Amino acid sequence: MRRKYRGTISLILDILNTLRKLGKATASELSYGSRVPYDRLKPILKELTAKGYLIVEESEGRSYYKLSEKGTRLIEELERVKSMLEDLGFKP
Amino acid sequence: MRTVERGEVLWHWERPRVSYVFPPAALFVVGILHLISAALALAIAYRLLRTYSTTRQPLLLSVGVSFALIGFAYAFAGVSGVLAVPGAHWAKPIQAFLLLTSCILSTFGYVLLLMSYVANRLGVLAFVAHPLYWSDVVSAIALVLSSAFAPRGRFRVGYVCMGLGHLIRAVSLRLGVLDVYVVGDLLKVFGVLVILAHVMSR
Repeated sequence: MRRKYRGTISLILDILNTLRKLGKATASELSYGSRVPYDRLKPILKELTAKGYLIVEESEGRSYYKLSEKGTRLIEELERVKSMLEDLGFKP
Repeated sequence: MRTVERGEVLWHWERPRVSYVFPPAALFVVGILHLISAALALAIAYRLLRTYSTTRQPLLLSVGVSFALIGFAYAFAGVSGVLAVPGAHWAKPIQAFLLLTSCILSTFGYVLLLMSYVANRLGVLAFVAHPLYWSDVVSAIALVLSSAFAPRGRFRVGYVCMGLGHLIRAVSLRLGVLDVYVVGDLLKVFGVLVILAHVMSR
């Protein structure tokens, strides 16, 4: 079955929601959980971390990502905007 | 929307639009409805552009700017309608210019919205949503075409320089070679100075 197209806004939202569900996760776990290819995931994680939406924790030689408070607020904002764009007929 | 009195000379852009006299009360109500629409459109634009400022997603920018343009257009049309007070002759030129501005803004807004839909479906939004890039491309085309109608000599040189300047800016933005952008800017300003100096010397 052909998978539904996801724009960048949906990808970011899926990544953040997966992280909220898992609490903390490595990039591979996030890639698997949000079904976002690793090569597409990495730059998004880098940008979200740089902007303070994600926190990186080093443990046992691995990098774990966690949602910051700012990141939790971003989920709400993106969900509102995404449904707004979908109502207008866009594929966010 | 504005009231027109018998025998009143209309601005040329109003002629095809205003063919009969609207009652001021109706214009006032339509004006208020326009203002409500404007407030809603601007609220949507604000929400989209605020999210754009944090996520930098081009879809949010292009749709946000479309709604902002449409919102301002409706606000101007609304104010124009509200100014339709009986006997307020002083308001007529203001109403006419508000209507003209409203038409221009809404046209840009609708076109940008359509472009956003098409680009979103084709998956090329990052390309379309670069407002600086599109502004330069459209300006370059307009100026080069204008040069074909301008009389020979300094006028044509001025238009061509301006057009080339915008084209260089567009190419530099597209390729990310921003050092060349200033060359385009210089060419553009040289072109406009040639034209303006020529006109002022008359």
